[in-house]
Amino acid sequence: MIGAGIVGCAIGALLQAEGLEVCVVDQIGPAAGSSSAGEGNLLVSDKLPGLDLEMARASLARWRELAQEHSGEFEYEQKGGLVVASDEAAFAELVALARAQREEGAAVRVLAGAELFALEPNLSREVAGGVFYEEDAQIQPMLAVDAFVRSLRRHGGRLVGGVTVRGATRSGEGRIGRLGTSAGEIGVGRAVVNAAGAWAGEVAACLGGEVPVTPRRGHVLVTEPVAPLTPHKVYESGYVAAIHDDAGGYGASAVVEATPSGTMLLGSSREFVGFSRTINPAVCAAIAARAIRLFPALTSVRLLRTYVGFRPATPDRLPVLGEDLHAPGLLHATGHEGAGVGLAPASARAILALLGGPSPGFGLDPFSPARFAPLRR
Amino acid sequence: MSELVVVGGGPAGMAAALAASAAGVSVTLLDAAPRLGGQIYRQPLRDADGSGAAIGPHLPARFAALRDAGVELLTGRLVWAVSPVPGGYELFLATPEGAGAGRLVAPALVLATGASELVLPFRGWELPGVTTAGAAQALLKHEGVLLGRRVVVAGSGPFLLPVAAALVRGGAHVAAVVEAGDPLRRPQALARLGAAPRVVRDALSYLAVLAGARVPLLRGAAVTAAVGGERVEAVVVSRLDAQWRPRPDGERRYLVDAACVSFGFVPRLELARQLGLSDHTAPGRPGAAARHDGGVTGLAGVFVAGELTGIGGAHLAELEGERAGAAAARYLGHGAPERARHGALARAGRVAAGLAALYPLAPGWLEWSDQETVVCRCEDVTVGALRRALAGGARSVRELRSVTRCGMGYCQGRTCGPIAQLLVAAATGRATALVGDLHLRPVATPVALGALGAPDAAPADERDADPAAAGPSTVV
Ligand SMILES: Cc1cc2nc3c(=O)[nH]c(=O)nc-3n(C[C@H](O)[C@H](O)[C@H](O)COP(=O)(O)OP(=O)(O)OC[C@H]3O[C@@H](n4cnc5c(N)ncnc54)[C@H](O)[C@@H]3O)c2cc1C
Ligand SMILES: Cc1cc2nc3c(=O)[nH]c(=O)nc-3n(C[C@H](O)[C@H](O)[C@H](O)COP(=O)(O)OP(=O)(O)OC[C@H]3O[C@@H](n4cnc5c(N)ncnc54)[C@H](O)[C@@H]3O)c2cc1C
Repeated sequence: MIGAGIVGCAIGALLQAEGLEVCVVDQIGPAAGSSSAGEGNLLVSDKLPGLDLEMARASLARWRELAQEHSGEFEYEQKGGLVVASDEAAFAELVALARAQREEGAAVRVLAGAELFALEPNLSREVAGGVFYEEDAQIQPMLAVDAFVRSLRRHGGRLVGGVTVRGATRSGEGRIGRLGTSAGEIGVGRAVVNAAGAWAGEVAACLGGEVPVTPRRGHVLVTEPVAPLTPHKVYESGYVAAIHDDAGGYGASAVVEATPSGTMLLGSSREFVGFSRTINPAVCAAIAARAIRLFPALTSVRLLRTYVGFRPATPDRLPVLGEDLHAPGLLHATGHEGAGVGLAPASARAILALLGGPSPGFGLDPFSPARFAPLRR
Repeated sequence: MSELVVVGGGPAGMAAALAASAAGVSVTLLDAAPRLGGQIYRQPLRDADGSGAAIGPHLPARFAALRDAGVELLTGRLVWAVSPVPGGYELFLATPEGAGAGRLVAPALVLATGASELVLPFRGWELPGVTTAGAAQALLKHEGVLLGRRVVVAGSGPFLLPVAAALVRGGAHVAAVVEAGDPLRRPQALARLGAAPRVVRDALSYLAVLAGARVPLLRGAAVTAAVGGERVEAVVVSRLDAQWRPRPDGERRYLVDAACVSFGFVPRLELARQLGLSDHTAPGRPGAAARHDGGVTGLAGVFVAGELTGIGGAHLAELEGERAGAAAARYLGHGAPERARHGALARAGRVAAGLAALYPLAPGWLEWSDQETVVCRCEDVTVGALRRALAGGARSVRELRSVTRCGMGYCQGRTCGPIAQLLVAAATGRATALVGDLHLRPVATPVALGALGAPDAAPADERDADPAAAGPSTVV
């Protein structure tokens, strides 16, 4: 397993528990990449009807089970998500999306006027309306990674940090036989899983494969602890469009939530700027301004810290789960964009299925790297 | 309205501003504090005993020179963020209370943000009345207020003496100065200070004040616990072995109403890290210092000076500031002479290294605390919680933070970050440089969300203001 983020660790823990022998390697250590640089939302609300929603709901169901098994270990809370629209036109679009999601089984509640403000008293009265998704939940991803790592080790699996994968040597049939790393070679039995997140493209290339993943940067603002402004996760309906919008610029839209410690996390932005870690204060200002438009009381709340993370983005914004077309034995589990935390358990089921386990409860073909084949020269 | 913005009005920043403006550069000098001077020369301008010793007798002349040179002074202004824009750098300002205070764009920057204090924890260190030595000194200098009547000054490093002397002059009864190290047992390092008459003279003057007040000077000892109800009422002072482990024989209580603690300094890297400047960590020390070559950094137009580049005292900071100011002037095309005083810089550098060698940190402090001792005061994370995380496999400060919340609170690890770093290094047997730190790009100071700037400001690369073309900097 290459990559000890939430995806690699979720897969590693499941495979090891199912009797495979797993070794997770990471160039730094557990949750050193995007999994400690995002937020922990497990969302149904932002998923488009079809594949996207089907997989998300399967994953969420699994998260609910995991929260029971690991009671209290990673701050799981089914707090519900509220998506709000700033004007009537946006509200109409939001309601149309919610209806389609409901047809596929999502629990949605359309709210406007007094009903909306009763649910969310601190919300700006300028908001036109909203939809409440009761299934939306939240976890603390770093603690979840920690829980997966402990489960992995309890079942006899291994995790090694400080090991960078650099290449591979092939066995007779062209399968990957040994991985070349900064700490020497590692023998490979059945498969290598590429769970290197935003770095998965580079990792695939050094192993003779290919996966079209690029880093999509996001800023998060962390505030001082305050009395909770909202018990839910609240975001503007423009967020869903921003995920699928390729236009340049910041892709800023407001995402507001409180954490159990009282700090508020404010997102979000989407930029293609490579792996640049230079905080852009202008992006921070744009995020703050949009968040204040939803919750005017945020005006006087103080910012303590900002950070950036890199979403592993594919051209169609859907994950890649399947065997590389050119490197037999190399399975990709990446490309989750802004939903890798939410989709980690479903991804683990998918990889287990690809290694001979039971069906994950959703179709796997659409997630195969084969869908990008026409893109190749 | 300047070509150069100097961030930090301590010895380094003031010298940089003067050197640059002497070469014809228009300079804005900016500091968070209400008045210039930095940590050491915090004002009032009048000293408690009228001698001017504590603030530096040459200071009034410095301030006059800055005024005469026409340096624009912006005090009471914090830079909460900095970022590159075409042709220069943009600084985002706030007041110390967190209100917005506009932006500033300039083609060149000198960062001289100094250092903050390192404190190692012990049982009860969070009690009111226990503070950093610097805070006690600042209170005295700023407000003329004594933290307590009966005080111990404890920790390690040359800084304990001036603080204790200032407290004596201010009228406090200093029950003891408690130094964990034993500089007298390091004759080689001590001998190196022979080349530093200024340091020796200062030390002797502090020692004279302390001797006059019959203040006991303990070496190889530490405050290992503070006890009290509402505030500190007593401290336990233990004898230490060479590794700073408490010795079973020597424990003594001092009744006090205040304790001032300092174990040296850690550079303030927030702005340097925001710009992506690289840094390095000295063996055995927490934190990191900005990398540079003669004050020049890897970023065009960004210069660094003073304690940000390593702890070296006010004199070295001043020399470095002068060098950085001249380098910035040359960068801006003002034929500033290569004025750097190489000999003086090298000497001051050797003195700084000598002082650092006199006062190394030792790992035994870990034994002063018990499982309940708090490390992260904002999030109430104890030594026990950190040890559990380490036993669970955490190998870096980052991992420790993510499983315990250590450093996630209001101060963003400014106090507990270096402690956590030393703790992880000790527990994993790795160098402090390898376990990481908690300077994870915080904003340089908490700032109200409403003050961050114009809503939906256009991306920097789309803004038409080209500061280089426009010449002077602009306050938006
Ligand atoms: C601002 C922001 C907010 C987000 N909010 C959410 C949210 O609310 N909900 C949600 O579900 N998702 C969210 N995401 C997305 C989520 O964080 C990612 O999809 C997810 O973390 C990806 O996990 P991963 O395990 O694939 O990658 P990572 O966590 O990045 O792990 C990849 C690992 O691979 C390692 N690696 C890379 N190259 C090598 C190599 N050559 N050799 C060895 N190891 C290597 C890295 O060190 C890293 O640890 C957000 C992302 C961002 C940026
Ligand atoms: C609390 C304290 C007390 C000290 N007292 C003494 C003493 O009595 N005797 C002695 O010999 N040495 C003392 N020292 C050491 C001494 O301060 C240094 O040797 C010397 O002052 C370093 O000079 P400098 O210019 O590098 O930094 P400093 O003097 O620390 O100046 C840095 C300045 O930058 C400002 N600043 C930092 N970040 C920002 C920002 N983001 N925005 C705006 N402004 C910012 C700070 O307000 C500060 O005024 C003390 C150090 C500390 C930390």
